[in-house]
Amino acid sequence: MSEKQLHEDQFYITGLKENNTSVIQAIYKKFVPKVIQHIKNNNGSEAEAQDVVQEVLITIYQQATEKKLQLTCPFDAYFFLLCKRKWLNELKKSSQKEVTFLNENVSKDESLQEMVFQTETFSEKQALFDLMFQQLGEKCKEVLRLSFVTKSMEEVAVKLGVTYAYVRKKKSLCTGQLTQLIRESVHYQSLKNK
Amino acid sequence: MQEEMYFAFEQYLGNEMNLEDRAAFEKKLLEDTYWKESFELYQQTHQFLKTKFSGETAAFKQNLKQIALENQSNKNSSKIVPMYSKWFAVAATVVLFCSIWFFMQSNEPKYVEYNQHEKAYFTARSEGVAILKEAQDAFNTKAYESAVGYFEQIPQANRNEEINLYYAIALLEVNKFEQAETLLQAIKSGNSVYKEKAIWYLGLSKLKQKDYSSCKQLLEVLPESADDYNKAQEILEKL
Repeated sequence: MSEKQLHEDQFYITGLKENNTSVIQAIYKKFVPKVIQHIKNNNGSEAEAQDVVQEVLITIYQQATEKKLQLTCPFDAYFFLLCKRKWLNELKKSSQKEVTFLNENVSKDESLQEMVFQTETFSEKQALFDLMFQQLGEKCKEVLRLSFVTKSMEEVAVKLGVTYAYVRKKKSLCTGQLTQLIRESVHYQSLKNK
Repeated sequence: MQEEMYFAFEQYLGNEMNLEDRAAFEKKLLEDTYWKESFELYQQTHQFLKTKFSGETAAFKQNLKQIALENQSNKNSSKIVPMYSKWFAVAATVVLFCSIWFFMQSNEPKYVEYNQHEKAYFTARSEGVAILKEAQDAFNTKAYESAVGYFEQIPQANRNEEINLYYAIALLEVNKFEQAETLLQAIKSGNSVYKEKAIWYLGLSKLKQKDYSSCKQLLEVLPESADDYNKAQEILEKL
C-alpha cells in the first residue's frame, strides 16, 4: 500500500476522520445523490439508501481512525462502489427482493478494488468484534465501557465502588476475554488471513 | 498465565512499563509467536473499544445524522413545492403587506431612532455632589423617571447649563415636553457650548410629539458645525 501514491482525494478521508462538517457536507452534495439514486433504482427506498450511506461513512471514519486509511483512488469511485456493494449484500440477505443488477465488479482499477477490499474486510472485522463484545458478561461490558468513556481508571474505580488495582486487572482480563471470543469464532479464522 | 499476559499487554499499551520491562516485553514479542499473535489481537481489540466508546465517534455519528437530515429535508421540500406553493403565495403576500406597512410607517422619522444620548459626566465639579451623582447614574442607565426626580432636587442656583441639558433630555424621555422645552429654550438663547445641543433636542422634542413642521423649522437652523448636523439632515430629508 505505502508504495502506491496517495490520491489527492485523501482530504475527504481526513475530513471524515476529523469530523469536519464542511467536508461531510461536500460529500453529501457531490457524491451521495448518485448513491441514493442507484439504490432507489434497485428496489431500495430513500431511507434504506440513507442508512447505507451513513453506515459506509461510519466505516470509513472508523478505518481512518484505527488504521491509516490511505486513499489511492478517487473518493467518488471508492465511496460509490462501497455503497453499491453494501446494498447488494443487503438485498442478498433479504432474499425477498430480487437482485436486478449484475457485474458489480466490472471495474478494472486495481487501486479501487484493493481499497474497497480493505475497507470491506475492516468492516467485517468491526462487525465481528461488535458481536463478540455483546457476548461478554454484563460486568465486563460495563467495566470496558467505563474504562474507555471515563478519563482515568481511578474515576472508574470510584464509579464502580471497587479498588483501582481491581479495576485495572479487570479491564485487562475483560479485554483478554474478548480477544479469546474473537479468536475462537469461525469467522475470525477466515478474516485473519485477508 | 493468561491473566498475567493480558495484564502485561495492558501495561505495555498504557506506557506503564519501565525501560527494562519494556525491553524484555519486546524481546518476548520477537521470540514467542503465540505471545506476538495474542498481543496483536489484543491491540486491535483495544483500539476497537477505544473507537467504539470515544466521544469523538459519538460526535461524528451525531453530526452525520444531522447533515443527512438537512440534505434529506432540502430534497423533500424542493419536491413538495407544488403542494405548498399556495401557502407560500399567502405567506409572500403577508410579507409584502407587512413591508409596505413598514415603509409607510418609516416614511416619517421616529424619535426612538435618534434618542441615543451621550452619557452624563458632571459630578466631579459641582456642589451637592451626592444628589447629582444619583441623577447622573440614573440618567446613564436610562432610568429617566428617577433621573428627573433627582434633577428636581437640585436647586436652580446650583444647576448649570450642562445639568439643565441632561435634565431636559430626561424630561423629554418621560414626555414632560413643556418643562423640557422651557429648559432647552433657555439654553438655546444663552451662549454656552450647549446651544446647538439645545436646538437639536428641541427638534427631537417636536419630533416625538409628531409636530413635524416645528421640528423642521428648528432643525433647519442647526448650523453645519453642530455635532448632530448629519442626523438633523437625515430627519429633514425624510420629512
